[in-house]
Amino acid sequence: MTRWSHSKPEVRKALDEADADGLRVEPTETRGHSWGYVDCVHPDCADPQRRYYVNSTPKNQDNEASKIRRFIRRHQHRKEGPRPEV
Amino acid sequence: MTYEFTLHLDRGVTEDEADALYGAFDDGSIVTGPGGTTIDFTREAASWVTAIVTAVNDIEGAVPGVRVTGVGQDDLVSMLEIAQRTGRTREAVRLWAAGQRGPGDFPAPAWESPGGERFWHWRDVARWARERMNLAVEVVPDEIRVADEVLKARQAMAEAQQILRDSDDATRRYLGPLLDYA
Repeated sequence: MTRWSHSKPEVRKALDEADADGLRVEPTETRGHSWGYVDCVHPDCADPQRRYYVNSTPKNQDNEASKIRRFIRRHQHRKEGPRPEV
Repeated sequence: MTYEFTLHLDRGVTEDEADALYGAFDDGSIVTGPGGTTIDFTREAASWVTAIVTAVNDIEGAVPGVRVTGVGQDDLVSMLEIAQRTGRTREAVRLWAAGQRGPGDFPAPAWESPGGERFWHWRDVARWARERMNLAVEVVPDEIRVADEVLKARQAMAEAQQILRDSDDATRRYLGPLLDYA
């Protein structure tokens, strides 16, 4: 179903959600430990931290998926405006 | 025990550095940008201090020159994180949230992800756990506050040393001994 090569199904699901939400999911397959990244490319994004690096082999895939989703929430600019709080 | 905390770094990290960091640990997630970096850890350790200190060493050992400048905890928490912070199982938290166990009135979720995972504000959950469940949970645990103060002080010390290195000899001679306080 998913087009992501990540080995953990829960992480693939979270990457799908990020992609569907307008974040840019970018696999960088040449690397070993880091699978790639998720970027916020929204023009109104005022958050200086706009990139989430995805671990290739997270110890706990549910945790990694939750953290990707928290990044999605942090970058809900279209729905709620910029979120300055960290 | 499982400890969950967020370390703050003094700068952003490149792709190569992120790769080196993920080579050093598999229990943290990196969010970065020109304004700095935060790394969320969920770490198994014997105590808060070992969890935090080993994570700081992992980071500073993997990327020469990068400094950890503080530690905190995210306010937006998943069910698993609530379980970790309250010392209960995820199933117990699920039952609290569903009103099938405990006194009821569990706080409403702050957000639901597009795929249906729910998140809560920790300050709401901590208040509920303290007042309704009589659990000894803090919004910010003392161990985190102390470690944060020490990391900030360490950073201030490093900056003071840099200022002295950049000063003239007389300034260094007179002000330098102030840093030898122990």
